[in-house]
Amino acid sequence: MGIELVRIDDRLIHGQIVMAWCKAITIERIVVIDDEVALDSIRKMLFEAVAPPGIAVSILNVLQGIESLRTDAFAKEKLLILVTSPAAILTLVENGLVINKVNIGGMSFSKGKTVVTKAVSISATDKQAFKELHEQGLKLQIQQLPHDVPLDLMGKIN
Amino acid sequence: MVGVVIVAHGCFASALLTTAEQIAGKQEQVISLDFAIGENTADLQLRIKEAIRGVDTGQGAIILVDLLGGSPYHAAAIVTMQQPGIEMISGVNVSMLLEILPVRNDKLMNVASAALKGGHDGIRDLVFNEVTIVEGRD
Repeated sequence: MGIELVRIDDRLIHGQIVMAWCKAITIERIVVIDDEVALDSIRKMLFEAVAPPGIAVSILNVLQGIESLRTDAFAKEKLLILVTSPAAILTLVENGLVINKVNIGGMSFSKGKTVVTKAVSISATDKQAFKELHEQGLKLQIQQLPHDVPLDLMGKIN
Repeated sequence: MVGVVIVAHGCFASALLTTAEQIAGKQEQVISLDFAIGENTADLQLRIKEAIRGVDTGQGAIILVDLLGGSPYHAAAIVTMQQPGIEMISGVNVSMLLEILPVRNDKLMNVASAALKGGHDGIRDLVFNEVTIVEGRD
């Protein structure tokens, strides 16, 4: 399986993904792994409708995501994996996802979160999950757009 | 009169309204919402709902968003599907907005058709105009 990018972005498939990332790198399938969206038929339909031409979309819950990784369901395709939280990445990594880098694109602010950059705010739960991912040797990079210089997340939250 | 809510990334929505008002004059029942980096799309949904309440006097409202598939699009689409009497169109441009501002006493459906037509009609290729429209262009 060719995983081109693993990204945390709570907007999931949106303007930056459609107009910037899918043009900057070769992507054949966007795999959204999120329990909430997998149950939300309206958002599912919207995400499927707005994918760039020629790029397939799969919207899976976490269990289905793990299963698709285990069975190499998308073995021949170049993938962009999208999730909304570091906890989701941690679950995938603990269940066999092999990656060395996580792109942190957008984690919107809400009450109780700490602002890290303009586009990234994290909760205590997020921080803990990031720490565990860091301890497992993953590079955690804040980078909204392909031409942005990646910023090391751990350097910003410690 | 049909209300209008413009939702877009950056400052486009407010600038678009300012631009249109420069040509069509000061408008009522029109609200622009700017979507900034870092804003929660759930919050944006709430702002859209509030704006709809602000512009809809019973004749319905039309939401104009910038980019197909962008966050304003998603937020507006969810609001549109949740409540009746709303139309939503993506790819807003100046000619689309100017086309509908004077015809808002018409039915919502007709205002939406005018928006679609106005948005398309404003896009022309200076040199290949006739070829593009009549035969398509290789």
